[in-house]
Amino acid sequence: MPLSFELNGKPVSVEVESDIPILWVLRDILGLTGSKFGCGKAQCGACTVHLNGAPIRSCITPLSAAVGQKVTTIEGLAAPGNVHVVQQAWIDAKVPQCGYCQSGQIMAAVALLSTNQAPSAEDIDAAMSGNLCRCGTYPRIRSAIGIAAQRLRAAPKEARR
Amino acid sequence: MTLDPTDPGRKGVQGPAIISRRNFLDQGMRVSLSAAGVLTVGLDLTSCASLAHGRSGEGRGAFEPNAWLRFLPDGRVIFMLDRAEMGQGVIASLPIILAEELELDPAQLEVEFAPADRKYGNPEVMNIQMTGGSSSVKGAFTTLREAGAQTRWLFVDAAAKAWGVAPEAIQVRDGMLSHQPTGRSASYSELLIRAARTKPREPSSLKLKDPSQFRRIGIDAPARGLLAKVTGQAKYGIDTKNPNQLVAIVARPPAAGLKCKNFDGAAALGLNGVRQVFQVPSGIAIVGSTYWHVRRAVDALKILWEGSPTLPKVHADIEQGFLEALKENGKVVKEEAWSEDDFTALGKVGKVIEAVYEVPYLAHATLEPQNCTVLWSEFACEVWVPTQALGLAHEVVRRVTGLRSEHIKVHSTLLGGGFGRRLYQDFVVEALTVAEQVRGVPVKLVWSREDDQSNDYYRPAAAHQVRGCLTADQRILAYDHKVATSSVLSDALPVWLPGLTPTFFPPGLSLGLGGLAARGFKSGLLADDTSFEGIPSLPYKIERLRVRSVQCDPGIPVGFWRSVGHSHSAFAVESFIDELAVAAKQDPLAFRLAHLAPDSAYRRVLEAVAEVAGWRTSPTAGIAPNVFRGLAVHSCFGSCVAQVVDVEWAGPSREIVEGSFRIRDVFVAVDCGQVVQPDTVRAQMEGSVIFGLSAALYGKISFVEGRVLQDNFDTYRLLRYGQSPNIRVILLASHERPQGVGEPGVPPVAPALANALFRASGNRIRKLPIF
Repeated sequence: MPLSFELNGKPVSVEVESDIPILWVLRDILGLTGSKFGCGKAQCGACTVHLNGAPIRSCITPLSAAVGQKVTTIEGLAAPGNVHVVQQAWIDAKVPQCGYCQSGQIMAAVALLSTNQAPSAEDIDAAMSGNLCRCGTYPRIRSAIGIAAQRLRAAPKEARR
Repeated sequence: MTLDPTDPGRKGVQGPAIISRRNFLDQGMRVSLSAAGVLTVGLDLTSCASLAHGRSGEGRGAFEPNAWLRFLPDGRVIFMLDRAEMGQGVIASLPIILAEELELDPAQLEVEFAPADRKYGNPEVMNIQMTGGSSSVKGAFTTLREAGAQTRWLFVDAAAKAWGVAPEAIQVRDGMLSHQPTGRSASYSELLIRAARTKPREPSSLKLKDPSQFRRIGIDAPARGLLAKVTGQAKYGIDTKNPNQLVAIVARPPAAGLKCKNFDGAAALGLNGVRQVFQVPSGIAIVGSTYWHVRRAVDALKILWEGSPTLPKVHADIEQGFLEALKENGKVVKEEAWSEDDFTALGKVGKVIEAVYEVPYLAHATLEPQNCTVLWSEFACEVWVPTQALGLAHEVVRRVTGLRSEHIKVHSTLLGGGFGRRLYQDFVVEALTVAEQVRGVPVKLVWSREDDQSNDYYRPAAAHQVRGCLTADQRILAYDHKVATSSVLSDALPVWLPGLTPTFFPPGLSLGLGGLAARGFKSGLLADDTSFEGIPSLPYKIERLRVRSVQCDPGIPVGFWRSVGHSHSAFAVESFIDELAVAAKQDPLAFRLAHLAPDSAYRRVLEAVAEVAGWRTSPTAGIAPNVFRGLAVHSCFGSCVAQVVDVEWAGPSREIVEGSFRIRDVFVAVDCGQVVQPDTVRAQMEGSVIFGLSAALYGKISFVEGRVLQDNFDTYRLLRYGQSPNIRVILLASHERPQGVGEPGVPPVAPALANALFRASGNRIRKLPIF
C-alpha cells in the first residue's frame, strides 16, 4: 500500500515498509542525497530534515510519522535557482570545509531562525549542539547564524522563499 | 542572490578533433635554477597528457599542454585536480597556483578530478598519487607554476608568430594576450588552434614571477563548490547513484579475528528488499535495495563464529603494556653530549623533574562513514570511492580484479572528511569482495558508524617518559625523553607498496615486500620516524639531550591520524617544558624564549601569539576574572604554530571535571611560508583546534573482549557547537616556500589546554583524555 506525504512542497508516494527511517526513503528510494548518514543513532545531526517545519533526525524517525505530513529537506529550502537566506549566509561566512555535515547544520539553523530571529547564544547552543562537525566549522557557523538572523530581522519576507 | 559559477561537476563536451599536443613532445628541456635564484623554466613536456590514457572519450580533441590543463575547443579550460578534496580547499588553491603564472582568472578554470595515473604522483610522498601529510600545496607549488608559465609561453609564441612580432613584446593578463605597439590582442581561446599545432620555439628565458608580483596567490578568491555544499548537491562517495544500483553491508563478527564457521541466510533472504546473502572474508554480505533493508536483515542471519579475538580483551592491560615498554632501553634516535652519569651528577646540584605522559588510541571518525561503489562487469571494473589515495585504489582494483588498467576506472569523489583514514584501501578491497559476487550490477558498500569506529587504523596510544634537569639559574641543562608507541608505517607499507612498485610486479611480491618491511618496523629494526617525530626536533637550546624510542605493539591496527606522531609528542614535550617553567618559577613564555635562538621561527610565532592574546599584560592569568591561560608551540610538516588557550575556571573545587571550566578563547599564530589562500589557512587552523580539543577532552578508543567500546558518537564524544571557543588566527606572511597547513594546528592544542588547566586548578594533566 503506498504511503504518501508532501516532500518539498510536492506530493510523493512510496511503496515500502512504514518503519523505514525517512532518511533512507529520501536517499535510497527517492534519490535525494542531500540529507546525510553519519551515525544512524541521532547523535550527529547530519540527517536533519523538517517535519512540518520542525527539525527531526530522519535516521531514527520512521516514515509512518511523515505520512500525510510535510517534509522539507535541504533540497527544498529554496526554489530552484534561489538560495535561502541561511544558505547565503553560509556562503558569505565561508562555512563549509568538507561540507558533509552542512545540510544538517543548515536545516537546524533554519528551524531555529524560523521561530526565533533574535536567538541568544544559549538558544543557538541548544539548537545547534545536536549537529556535529568533524572539520570544526563551529566558529563560522556562529558567524553565519548571526548574519542570517540580522538579515531576516531586516527583511522578514526573505525567509519565506 | 549569488550563484557560484565555479562550481565543479559540469561535464566535458566532446568537440572536433584537434591535433594532440603529443605530437610536439620532442622538445626535451629542463628547469634550472640560476645563480640569482631565479627559477628558469624550459619546456618540459614529458608529463603531457595524451588522448590515449584510457579515458572514456570525454574531451577528445582537447589541447593538453601538461598533465593539469585541458583547453577545450568550446573555449572552456579544465584544471585536472590530482589531489583529494576533503575540506582543505585544494579544489581552489591548486588552480590558483597555476592560474597565477598562466595569467588567467582562476574563476575561468573548471575543475575536474584527475584520473589515476602515475604522472599525478605526489613528490612529497614517494610519488604515490595520494593526498596527505599536509603536502598538496607544498608539493605542487613549483610544479604548477612551471606548468602555468610553460603554457603561457606556448600561447605567447603562437601569438608572436601570428602577429610577426617579438614574443618579448607580448603581454598576457587575465587570459588576454596583447601587443601594445600594434594594438593586436587575442584570448587564449582564439589562439588555441595555432598554439596546439605550432611547434614552439625555445624561450630565451622563462621566469616564474617574483612573489611581489602575485595577483592571485596570497589573496582570497571565492571558495569553490560552496553553493553545492549548502544546497545538498555536493556528491560524496556515499551519495554515488547509478541505474539499478544495489546497497550492501557486511555483518561482522562480534570481535575482530573471529571467522564465520557457518551461517544460515534463508530467513534474511526471505525479507523484503534483500537480494543476496553470501560470505566474504570479513563476514556475511547482505545485498539489497536500500541501506535500511539490508541493515535490518542482519538480525535475521544465523551465524556461527569461531576463533579467538585478535584485539586485546582487557583495556587496562594495554595501557599497562605501554608503561611496561618504557622500562626497555629502546633505540636512541638522538643524542647530544649525553651521559647518564652526568645526568645523575647534575641531579645532585640542579633540580630534576620527571614525568610520564600517556595518550590513548584515537579514531578518525570522518563524518561520512567508509563506503565504496563497484560495478564489476565481465571485462571492466568501475569504482566510485572517497579516497585520499587514488593511485593506491587503482592498484588495488587492478590487483584484485586482474584486469588491465585500461579497463579500470576509479572515480575519486568528494570526501566527507579524511584525516588520514582514507589513505587506506581496506574498504575498497571489501567492496570488491562483495562486487565479485554481484557482477554486472553496481553495488555500494556502506559502513555503519559502528563498523567505522570498530575497523579503523587508530592513532596509536603512547607513553612518554621525560626527565629534565634545571640549573641554579633556571636553564634546562639536560633533557631525556623516551617514547613507547606502535609503528604506523608497519601497517601502512603493505598498503602503499603496490603504489610504489612497478606495475609489472606480481601482486604477491609487492605484498611480500610490504610484509617484510612491516616486520622490520614492528621489531624496531627499522626506525619509524612517526613514532618519535617532534621530539628530536624540539627547538630549545639544551646542552645534553637524549631521545629514545621503544616499539610497543599490542596488535591493534594503527595508522596516520591528523598530525601523526606530533599529535602526541607535542603533548609530552610542551607539557614538560611547562612543568620545567613552573619549577623554574618563570613565565612559560619567557622561559621558552630564553631557550630559543634569536632567529628561531618558534620565537616569531610565540611573539605573535603573545601579542594577539595580550600575554605580556596578562600572562597565565588576569585577562578576565577566573580566566587562566596556557601556551604551547610546535613545528611539523614545515610549519610552526604557537597557541594560547584561555579557560574560564568555575571550580568549585580544584578537581578538573566536566563543568569545572569552559574554553573561552584560543589564539593561534602560524608561520607556513607563502600562503596561497589566507582564508583556507585560517579555516584549517580553526578546524585543527576543534579537532585537537575533541581529542584532548574526550578522545579515547578502548578495547574490551576484543571489541571497540566507543562505537558511536554517544560514547566517542566530539566537541559540539556549544562548547567551541572563539578562535583567532594570525598568519605570519612570508614568501618562503609554502609549507603544510592541514595538520600543524593540531599538536599544540592539547598541551596549551593542559597548561592552562594547571594554572587554573593546580592540577597537572599527564594522561589524556581529560574526561
